Amino acid sequence: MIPVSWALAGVLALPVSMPASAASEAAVQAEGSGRLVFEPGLRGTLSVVDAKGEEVAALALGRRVVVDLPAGRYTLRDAQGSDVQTVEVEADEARSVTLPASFADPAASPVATASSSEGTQTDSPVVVQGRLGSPSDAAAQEVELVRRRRWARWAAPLLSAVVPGGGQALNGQPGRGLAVFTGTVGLVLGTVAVWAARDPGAGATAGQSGDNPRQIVRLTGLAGLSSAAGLLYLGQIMDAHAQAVDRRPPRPRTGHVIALEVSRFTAVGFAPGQPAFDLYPDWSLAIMGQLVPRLTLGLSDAGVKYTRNRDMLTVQAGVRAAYRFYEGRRLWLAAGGGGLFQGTRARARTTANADAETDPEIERAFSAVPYVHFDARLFLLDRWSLGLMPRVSVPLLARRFRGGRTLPRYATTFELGANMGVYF
Amino acid sequence: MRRSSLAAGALALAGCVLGFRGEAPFSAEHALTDTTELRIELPNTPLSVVACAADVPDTCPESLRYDGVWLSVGGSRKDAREQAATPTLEFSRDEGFAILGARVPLAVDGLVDLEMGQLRVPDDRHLDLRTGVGDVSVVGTEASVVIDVEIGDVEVRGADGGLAVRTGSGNIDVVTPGHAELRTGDGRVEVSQAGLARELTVVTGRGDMVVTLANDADIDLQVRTEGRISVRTPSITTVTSGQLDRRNGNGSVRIELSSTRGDIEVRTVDPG
Repeated sequence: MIPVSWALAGVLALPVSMPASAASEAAVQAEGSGRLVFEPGLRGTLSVVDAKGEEVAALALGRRVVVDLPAGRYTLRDAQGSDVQTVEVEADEARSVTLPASFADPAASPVATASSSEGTQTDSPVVVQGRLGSPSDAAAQEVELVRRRRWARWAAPLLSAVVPGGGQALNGQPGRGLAVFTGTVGLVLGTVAVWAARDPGAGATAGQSGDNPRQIVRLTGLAGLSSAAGLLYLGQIMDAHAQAVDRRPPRPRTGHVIALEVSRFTAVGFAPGQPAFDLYPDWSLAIMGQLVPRLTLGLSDAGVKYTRNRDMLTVQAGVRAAYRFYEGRRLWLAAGGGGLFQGTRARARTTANADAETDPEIERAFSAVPYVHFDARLFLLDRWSLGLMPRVSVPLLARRFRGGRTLPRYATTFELGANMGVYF
Repeated sequence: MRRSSLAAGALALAGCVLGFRGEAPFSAEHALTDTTELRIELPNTPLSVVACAADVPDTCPESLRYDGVWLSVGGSRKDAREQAATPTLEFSRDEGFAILGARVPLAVDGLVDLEMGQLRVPDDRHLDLRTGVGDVSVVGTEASVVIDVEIGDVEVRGADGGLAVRTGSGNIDVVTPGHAELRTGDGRVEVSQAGLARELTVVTGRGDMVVTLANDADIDLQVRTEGRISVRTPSITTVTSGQLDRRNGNGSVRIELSSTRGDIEVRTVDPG
C-alpha cells in the first residue's frame, strides 16, 4: 500500500499545465478591469493580494503571464508571504511589472527586473505601459492567463466528490482529471474485485482447510487497495480545491492549535477455525492539541463498534502523544505512542436456555492496548493532510473489532493506518 | 516456498498479527429418555447427524452422543490452550423438549471456533438444527426434521415425518419419503421423493432445481421461473418458461416449485 499511496502524492503533484483554450481566454476581459503583465525571464511564485488582504491570484513565473484584475491597489507577495511590492491597476490599462533582481532567472536575459539596490518593497506604482489592446490583439493571444473563478473554489471539489477528476477538468486540467479518474476508478474496481473473490462459505465444510497464502494475499490486497482508494479519492477533492483557489504549494499550518483526524487502521491477522485469517479494520477519530511547537497530545482512537450477533457494543477511546521531527514544504514526519481503551457490553451467548423467559445475562469486558507509531503526512492544502501511520500494538486484554472480530491479548499487532487531518 | 514468501511479504506491507493456535477436543453423551424433540442450536459449525434405529436399543441407546473440537487463537501458547477450553456445550431438557447449545463467554468471543464431529441420535426424535455458517447433513431419521442455516449446503436422507429446510446460501440435496418445504437464497436444489407422492414446496433464488416426484397421478403442479421449465412425467411432457400450471386427477398433492432465474426440471421416479 505504501508505494500506491505515495503514488497518490505523485499524481497530485503533477505540474500545472494550462490548456490551449486558456490562451484564447486572454482576450476575454471583465469590464472595468486592468491587466498586470509579467515578462518571461523571471522565476519563482507570487501571490496577488487585494486591498482587503485576500489573495486573488497565485502566479508561477517563467513564461509571460498576464493577470486580469479589477481596478485597484494590489500587493505582490513572495512564496514566504513577504511583501514584494504594491501595484496599482487601472481600468483598461496594462501594466508591465518590474520585480526585484532576486526574481530574475539567471538562465534567461534580464527582463523586467530591477537591481537589488532598488529594494524589495516599494509603495510606488510600477511603470504603465500603454493601454489594453482590442480582443483581437495578437500579442494578447500569446500570453498565459491566470484567472480566479470564485465559484470554482467549491464547485471543483464538489464535482470531484461526485466524479473523481471532474474538479480537475473543471479547473482546466483535463489530463490531471483523467489520471485521477482512472486511478480512483481502478482502485475502487480493484477493491471490489478482491472483496468479491472471498468465499462466503469458507469454513462451512467439516475438515476443509483453506488456501492460507492466497487468503493472506487477498486480505492484504483488500486492505491496501481500499486504503489507497480512500486516500486518492480524498486527495483529489482537496487537489481540486487547491487548484481552483491558486496553484502555489501548500503551506502547512505548523502553528495550529487543534487537529481533527479520521483514521483507518488495518491488520491481517489469524482467526480461529476456517477461514484461518481475517482482516481487522479499525476506524477512529482523534482530536489532537499542539501543546508546544511540534509536540501534540490529545484524545485519539475514539470509535464505536456494534455487532448485532450478541447485541455487542464496544466503545473505545485513547490518548496519544507525538513529536514532529521533520517539517518539509509538504511533508511532516512524526513519531509517538499512546494507549487505546475499550469497554464492551454484550448479551451472553448461550442457546441452551433460549426459550427461558428471563432476561438474557449481560457480560462486560475491558481492554487496554498500548502502541507506538510513526506518522507521515502529506499536505495538499494548507490545513488538510493525508497520511500513513504504521503502528505496533500489544493488547493487554482481548481487543474488539467490527463484526465481532477479536484479537487476543499479547498478540503483537502491526497495523497500517491511513488518515486525513484538518488543522485549526 | 514462493507462495509463503509472497504471503510474508504481503503481511509485512499490510500489517499482521503474531500469536498461537490452540484446540480442545471434547465428547459427550446426554440421555434423551422421554424426549420427543431435540433442538441443536450452535454457532458456526458443520453439523452431521446420523440417526440409528430406535427400535434396536442394543445398538442405539436412547441418548444424544457427539464429539468435536474447540479451536482458538491466543497471544501466547498457554492463552491459546486456555481459551480453547473456556467455551462449553450445554444440554438442557424440559419435559419432552431438549436443547443442545453453546456458551461462549465474552472473554473468548471471536477467539474460538467450534467444529462438531458426528452427532448420533435415535431416529424417532424430531430434530431442529440451527447454525450460522456450516454444512448440515442428516441421515436416517424417521421423525420430522427442521434445518435453518445461514450459509451452508444441506443434505438429508430420510425425514419421513416431514422436512423443512432454509439456507441463506447453499445447495440442497434431499431424498425423503415425507412432505418437504425447501428454500435457498442462492443454490441448486435436488430433491427426490421416496415412497408415496407427498406435498412439496421448493423455492430458490438463482439456482437450478431438479425434482423427482414419486408419481404424477394426483398432483397439482405449479412452476414459476424466468429460466427454463422442463417436465417429463408419464402424463406431462413440456418445455417452457415463465409459468406452468398442471393438474392431474384430483390434484390432491400440491407441488409448488419457484425460482427467480434458475432452470427447473421435473420428472418422476418411474418415467413411464
